[in-house]
Amino acid sequence: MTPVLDLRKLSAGYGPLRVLHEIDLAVAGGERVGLVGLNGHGKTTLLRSVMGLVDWRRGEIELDGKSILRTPAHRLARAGIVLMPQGDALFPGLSVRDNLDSGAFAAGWRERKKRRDRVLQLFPRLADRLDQAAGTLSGGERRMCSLGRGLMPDARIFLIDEPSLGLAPGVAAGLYSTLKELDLAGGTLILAEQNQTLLEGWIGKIVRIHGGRIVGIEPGGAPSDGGPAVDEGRRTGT
Amino acid sequence: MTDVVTTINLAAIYGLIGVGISLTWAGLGFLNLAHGVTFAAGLYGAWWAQENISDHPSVIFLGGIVVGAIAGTVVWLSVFVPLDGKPNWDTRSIVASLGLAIIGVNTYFLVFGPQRKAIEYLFGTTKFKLAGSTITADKSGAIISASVVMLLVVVALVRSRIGLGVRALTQNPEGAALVGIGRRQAAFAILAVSGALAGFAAVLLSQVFYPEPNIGYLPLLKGLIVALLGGLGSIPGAVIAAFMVGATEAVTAHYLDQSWVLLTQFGLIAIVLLVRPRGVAGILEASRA
Amino acid sequence: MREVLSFKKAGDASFYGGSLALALILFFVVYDNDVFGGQWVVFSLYASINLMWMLVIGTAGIYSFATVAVVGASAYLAALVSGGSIAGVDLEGARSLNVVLMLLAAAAFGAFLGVLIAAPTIRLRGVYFCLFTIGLAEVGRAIVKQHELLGKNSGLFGGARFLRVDQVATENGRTIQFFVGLALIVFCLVVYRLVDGGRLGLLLRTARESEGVAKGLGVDVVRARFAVFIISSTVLGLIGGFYTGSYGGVSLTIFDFNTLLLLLAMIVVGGLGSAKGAIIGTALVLYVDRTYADLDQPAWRFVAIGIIMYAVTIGTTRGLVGLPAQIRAYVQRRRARQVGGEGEPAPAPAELELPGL
Repeated sequence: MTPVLDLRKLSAGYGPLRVLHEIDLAVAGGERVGLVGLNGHGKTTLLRSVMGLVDWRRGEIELDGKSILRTPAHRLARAGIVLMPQGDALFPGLSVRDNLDSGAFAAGWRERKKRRDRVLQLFPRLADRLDQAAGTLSGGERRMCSLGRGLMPDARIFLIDEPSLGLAPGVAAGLYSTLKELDLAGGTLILAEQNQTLLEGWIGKIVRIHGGRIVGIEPGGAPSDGGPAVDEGRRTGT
Repeated sequence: MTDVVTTINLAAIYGLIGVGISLTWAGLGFLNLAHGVTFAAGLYGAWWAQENISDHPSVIFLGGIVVGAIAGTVVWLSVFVPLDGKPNWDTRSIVASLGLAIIGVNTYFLVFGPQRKAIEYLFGTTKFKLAGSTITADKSGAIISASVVMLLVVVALVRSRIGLGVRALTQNPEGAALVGIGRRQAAFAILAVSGALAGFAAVLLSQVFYPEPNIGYLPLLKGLIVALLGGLGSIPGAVIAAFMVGATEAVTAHYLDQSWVLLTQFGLIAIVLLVRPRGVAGILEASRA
Repeated sequence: MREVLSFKKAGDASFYGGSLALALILFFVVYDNDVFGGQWVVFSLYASINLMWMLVIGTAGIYSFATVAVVGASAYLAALVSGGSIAGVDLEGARSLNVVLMLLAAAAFGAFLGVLIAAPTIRLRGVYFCLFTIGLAEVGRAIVKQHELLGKNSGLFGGARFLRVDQVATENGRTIQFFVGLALIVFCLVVYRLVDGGRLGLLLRTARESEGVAKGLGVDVVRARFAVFIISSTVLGLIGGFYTGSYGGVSLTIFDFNTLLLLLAMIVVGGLGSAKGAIIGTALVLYVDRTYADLDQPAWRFVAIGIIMYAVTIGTTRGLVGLPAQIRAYVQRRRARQVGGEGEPAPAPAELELPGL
């Protein structure tokens, strides 16, 4: 079966700096993959490479068997790949509502409202702040807004880059409990995370990256088709 | 009273030019110094339409708007497309637009000659009285049409999908790409529309500003003043700033002399920016806080 | 001090030595005539202005366009204090200073103007400062137009000159003028090197790159910028004095917006941020300007300059002077991309916390 996302001999970098060295990675549809490794070893670069947001790439990246190396980021976004980056990339002067809505440009306003309501159910904190400018939110709220925006479009592949970064442990844990419960409607998830314990029990496949190379792939302790999380005892309130 | 009418007239027109510059800076990160040449292009386009097609006002207007949009597209093709994403973008885009402006102005010289051209009265020659002073048709026509267009622009920015896209682009270019906004396409929209706005403003001013090679210099300067005073990227700021600039001009011309106008306008900027470096937008933000 | 004044790279010595040799040959051998003599005066003035401008825009990153205004105003002052008066009018008991005093007065006035301009505006953000300074030349022009004492539209003549009346348009006169111009350029080069290569230059560069970090390191950014502005204004004032001294007078053309554009084209073509760039850019643009100067239509001249400006900006990252470095970077990038190539290895990740990688 064709993998939904296939990286072959992918090298990437910035200017004279080469960060990824001939990565081979195939992800099947509906898989939940965790990308694990220390800072600076290429997790973010890998996710950004898929989106085409790095300086240069070499090798092959295929979506459903078709090369996307020449496709610019905004077209990939419309084609159903969503990146929720480090730093959130929110629109600070726009309201939370506008930020969320911007994630679903293509949808009509009725559909947009439906999806926004769904996101607000996942992140109730945002509902109180709908008209607030995104730049005035707290770190945790900004992260929720960024993730929420990523959940607005009709996406099939979700790339999430270190959602716990910069958050207090309690907030991070709350965020993850929401993520665990996410129904991605059969979509594929690649989640980069330094702290492997946060991935335990609900990620199907762990990919270890070190020095820009994949050094190991192991099962993650959850059914790799993204079935319900095994671990009930870790739930924490948001 | 004549002052008030003049103020509104000027404000509406400067606003059209200033908004274009403000959006280009905020959305694309470059100060479009070729905007004066775009303005002049609109003026020449209107004149050309008048000479070669028909002197019906709607044709003249269309000539100005279409040629203005084309000029905006030329800027997009020659400045944005080759330089976007390349190193040292900030400086290079400004300088490239300046080079383009120099080429443009002198091309006008070579093609059209240095003499001014004349454009017909667009709104007829009727006058009417209001509160004791006479208002000509062209002034009132200009005010009404410019205000309508400005309103349309604001509404489009706030309510339409493209408008949200442009606003998103001004706040976070990467975020915009991630939600599917193509930078190159957005840049084309911004530059072509501001070109059309400049062309429209040029036709409105055609009773006072005649098509000649250097005609774009002053509007560019006014547009820059309005954009900076308003706080780059802020449309409400630009609109308010346009009124301030228009008022300064009307009052100065009335009580002092036309030659002092630029001086007083610079003085205005200096004062406002010393108090609020973010311009009018900064004042608005402070009052909201 | 000696270290600062010495050539930074071997290439520099050959550049300056070669340029000097070229200038000498062109002036005394190839074009031993008045026309070239006149071009040299213009070149030396523009190159000197650009060297000072390079300090402000390049090293300090201050987008000031006050250069023309300062030079013009100082030239006017120099003409005034050394006995100049409106063309055709005899001023009874006109003051008359000798050339050296005139130069000093001009330089002092330049310093004064620098303080006047910088004091209220040095904290202004880049773009705003830029617009403000562009308007200054307009202000200068407006002021001159109003006052008879300043020559109104005709200009001032009769000020102190480097050449005696009988020396003008002679070979002797040309030689004197050559060395006067050369002295000015060398002086400006020395000033540039002292500032840019010294502690002030270092402070300014860090402040330009990252103001917050510089402040955190204890750099008084405002004072550093103020200092470089005053220094450059003083020398610009001096150049204004040299202008008057070379022509014996000054007129409104000095405030021409076209002059500002021409100067801008020069530093942009050369490349912001180096003395070599200022010299190369001035020479190249001036050459193009003069080549097209005699055509019937002056517009062609500006079209040519506009095209050069545009082409160099599109094609090069940092002007002509930066071309070698640009090519090197391109080659490195290609090497990193090659299949099997290693490129520059990323720094050992265990030691380095690169954010976002």
